[in-house]
Amino acid sequence: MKNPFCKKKLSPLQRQTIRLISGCAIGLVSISMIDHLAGANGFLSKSLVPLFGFLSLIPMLGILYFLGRYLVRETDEYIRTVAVNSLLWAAAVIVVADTLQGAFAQWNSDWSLIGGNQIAIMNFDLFAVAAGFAFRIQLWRSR
Amino acid sequence: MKNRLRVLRAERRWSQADLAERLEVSRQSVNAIETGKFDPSLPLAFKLARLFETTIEAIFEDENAQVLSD
Repeated sequence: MKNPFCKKKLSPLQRQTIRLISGCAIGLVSISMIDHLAGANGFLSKSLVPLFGFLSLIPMLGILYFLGRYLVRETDEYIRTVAVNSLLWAAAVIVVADTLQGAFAQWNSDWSLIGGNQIAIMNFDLFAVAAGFAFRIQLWRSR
Repeated sequence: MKNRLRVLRAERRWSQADLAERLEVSRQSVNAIETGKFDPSLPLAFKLARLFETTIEAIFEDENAQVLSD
């Protein structure tokens, strides 16, 4: 049985874009973890905290750039439509996740500990993962 | 939009992958057009017409044509 999520079914441009976006997402998670761990353990001076905020902007802008680059270079109009659809699904996932997080924060104060640029970072990682899944699911549906 | 793509393809004994290769699109695109999930752009419709040596009207059926002519 063929795996519908098999990488061999992706075009070289799609594979390259996934690699680049995954790299950015991993970079974003790494910056977030360093920021969180160093902040929690008091290893970071207060002047360095904004620096991590700016650092996390690099992979975020990278993800947006690589998404735009992919949409411009994709010659298959159906796949381009599917990609745009996937981005909209990913945006919807973020809205739902943020709404739920906000609701849980009101109910349980532990959830409100996620703050500052960590929400933006979490949103971006969630966006990248959700868009990837939505894209593969839609391609699988028209297999 | 209804179309005769599956019939035309079957007449030539082409698989979806064969047609996709000739059109330089993905197999999923051919499937989506055949099942009516996706309407191709005008350039792709012309490409299809050229490939099957026919007209766009012979491949695609405009369901609103009757309404417009009334």
